[in-house]
Amino acid sequence: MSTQGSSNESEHDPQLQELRKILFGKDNQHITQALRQNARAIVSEVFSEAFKDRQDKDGSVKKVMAPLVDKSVEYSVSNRKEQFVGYLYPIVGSVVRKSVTAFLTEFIERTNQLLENSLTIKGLTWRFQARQAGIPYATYIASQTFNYRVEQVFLIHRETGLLLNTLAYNQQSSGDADLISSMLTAINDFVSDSFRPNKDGHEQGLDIVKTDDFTLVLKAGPSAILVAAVTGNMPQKVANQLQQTIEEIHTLYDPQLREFKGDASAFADCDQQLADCLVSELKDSEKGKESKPWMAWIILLFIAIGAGYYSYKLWQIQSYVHQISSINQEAGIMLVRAQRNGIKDISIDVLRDPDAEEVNNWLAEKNIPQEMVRLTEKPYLSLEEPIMQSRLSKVLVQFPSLTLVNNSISGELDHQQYFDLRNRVQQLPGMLDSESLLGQISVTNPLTLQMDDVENIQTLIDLKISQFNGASIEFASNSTQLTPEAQDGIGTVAKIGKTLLSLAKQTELEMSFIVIGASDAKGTRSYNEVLSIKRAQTVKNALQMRGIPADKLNAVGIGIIDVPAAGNGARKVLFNVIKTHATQP
Amino acid sequence: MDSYKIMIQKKICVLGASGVGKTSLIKQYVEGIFSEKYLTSIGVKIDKKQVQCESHTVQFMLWDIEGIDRYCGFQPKYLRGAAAIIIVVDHTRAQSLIEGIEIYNLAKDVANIPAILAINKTDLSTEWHWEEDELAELSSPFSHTFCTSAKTGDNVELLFSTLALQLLSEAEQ
Ligand SMILES: Nc1nc2c(ncn2[C@@H]2O[C@H](COP(=O)(O)OP(=O)(O)OP(=O)(O)O)[C@@H](O)[C@H]2O)c(=O)[nH]1
Ligand SMILES: [Mg+2]
Repeated sequence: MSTQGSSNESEHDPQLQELRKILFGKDNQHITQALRQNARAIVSEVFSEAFKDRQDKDGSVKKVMAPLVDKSVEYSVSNRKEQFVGYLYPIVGSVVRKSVTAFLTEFIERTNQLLENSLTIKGLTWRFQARQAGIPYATYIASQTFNYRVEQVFLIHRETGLLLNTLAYNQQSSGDADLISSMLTAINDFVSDSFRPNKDGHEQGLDIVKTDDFTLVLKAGPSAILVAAVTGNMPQKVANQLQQTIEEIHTLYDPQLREFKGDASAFADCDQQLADCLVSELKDSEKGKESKPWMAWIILLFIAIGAGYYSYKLWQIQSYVHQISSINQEAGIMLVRAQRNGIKDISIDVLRDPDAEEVNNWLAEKNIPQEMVRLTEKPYLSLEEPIMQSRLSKVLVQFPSLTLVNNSISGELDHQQYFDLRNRVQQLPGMLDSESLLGQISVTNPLTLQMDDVENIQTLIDLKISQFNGASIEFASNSTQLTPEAQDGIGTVAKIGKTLLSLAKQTELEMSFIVIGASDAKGTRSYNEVLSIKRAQTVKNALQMRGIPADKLNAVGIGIIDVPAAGNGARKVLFNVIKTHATQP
Repeated sequence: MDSYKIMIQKKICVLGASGVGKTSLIKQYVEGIFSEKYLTSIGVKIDKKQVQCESHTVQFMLWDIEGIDRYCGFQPKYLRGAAAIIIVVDHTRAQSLIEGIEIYNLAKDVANIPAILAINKTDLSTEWHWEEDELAELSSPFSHTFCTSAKTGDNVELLFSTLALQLLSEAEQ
């Protein structure tokens, strides 16, 4: 301020003016010159501080600088674009990348959905298995049947990005194909924006989009783009086929393509051309043979055979059981129980008359394998007609002169034989009417012829009587039981007795027998008396059973017969014949 | 039934300054949903919707293009093959109308196609209003002007069905 004051004073002094002129030069030339020489140094010393001070004081620096900075940045951006993209890319790039990724993800998802929908059931199972195995579907597909397969082709109008036609491997296409087409076009736009044109000035477009799940191959013509979605490892020939097809479509549909206003029906007919692009290649291993789960088949076969065998066996054994129950119709056999044990064997319990057919023979006759049958057999006596017949026939075998017709026996026998036969027939179990059975037999016994000779008969009677009287049946000490020998003895006695009775008939003699029981001296008298009577009674019964009528038998007990010399004492039964002349009626 | 009608596909581009509600309009139209949340669009998002008309079915492929502003220039490539454009402006921001007209002029140079003006967010009130004749002049190049709300759905359906009919009648000529 002081300098200003002094200069004001001196302005009016022409001398000083002159001096100043000399010292500072014209228009302060010398000073400015001198300052100019050092200006850079002087200004640079205070430059930053001065800026700050001024900015602090009234903020005018910012106002002045801002437009300058804007201008210079603008200049730099427009002239050195590349460099600025480089600076900004890390910041902007991540945002763009994010959004582009989102877009692409949506696109890929939609395309995947489309392909998924267009896949067969087999494809779906593969997809599931691929997910389980944690490998990309395409890889899995490739590892399965196909080296590659074109799942779907899209014909897209290049200008509008609208879908003209689409054809899927399995003939059905989802509604999203049009959306995918538009998105693909947008991607294409984006790609051609983001990259510089080729040297020849052509726009660069997408050729191929590869994802984990599929590959999109694009072939662009002037008015349309052909896109194929391929799974597996796509060979070059798919791209070649697309190229060929898109050219074909351009020649065929050129006017339609150029006049396309959104009505795709004009392109419905290019299915044929698109079908050419739906190519696929089977795996080498899949071409020859269809892999079959042999193990599973074999196991299944075994199970089937096993089940078949089992049910056959079951059926068989059940039919055997059923057959076996018919054994009841067989005479002399009674089925008590027939039971199946699993499918292996049958256990049967039967009652069988010894005269009935052998069960094993019966089984053989019915073709039932005997090794399957576990047989438990108990004997019983059957009164069934056929069994009776067979018993009778067995007896008759010994009498060849006889014939059995209609339950009656005819033929000739001598006396001896006749009695023998009658005896046996009467002993047959269940034989009720032996008289009518034997009635037809004519007895031609030479003995009977001599019977006319009374004297001879008398002699025979005497002989028999002496035989009868001489017989005795021995008992064990203090016993009334018949020993086997005693049984035999009684048989003989009974035979003699019966002969005597028949002889007596012929000679008009009455005959009856006394059965005399006796005992030894051991024990009391009364006891022995009872014992002797019991013994006589036992023998009487036995004789009765052997055919001697009861009214011809008298049993008596005589108590003790003390015969010290006899070893067995008198533990026996004795016999006696009482012969009277028949009283005339 | 519908399937016997001839289907015509149309590519429609929705343009406008950022934040005016382009995405919201399309979402309201296609899905019937509105969200207050603002997620600025980057690049383009494509949706589709069918409109049943008397003789035809029109299928719109709706290209929702990122908001055009100082940072994000106009991308003429996206307009390729479009049958119509919808210019969206924000009823609460006068500036967005100016920007909308600029965008329209840019688009007109690339493709001479019908354009519809959608004055959006009309559910919100503003102190400021366009003069009637000013608005009339601004909207004169557009074939139709609608005051829409992506939030309430006002005029949204109408906008698109009018567009469908317009495109059909043009096709018949
Ligand atoms: N009240 C109201 N809010 C709206 C309406 N339309 C959009 N908005 C809101 O405005 C904001 C921007 O909406 P967007 O649809 O994302 O706008 P945009 O035009 O797609 O924006 P960019 O994609 O960035 O260009 C969101 O918060 C919306 O909720 C409307 O009609 N009414
Ligand atoms: Mg948006």
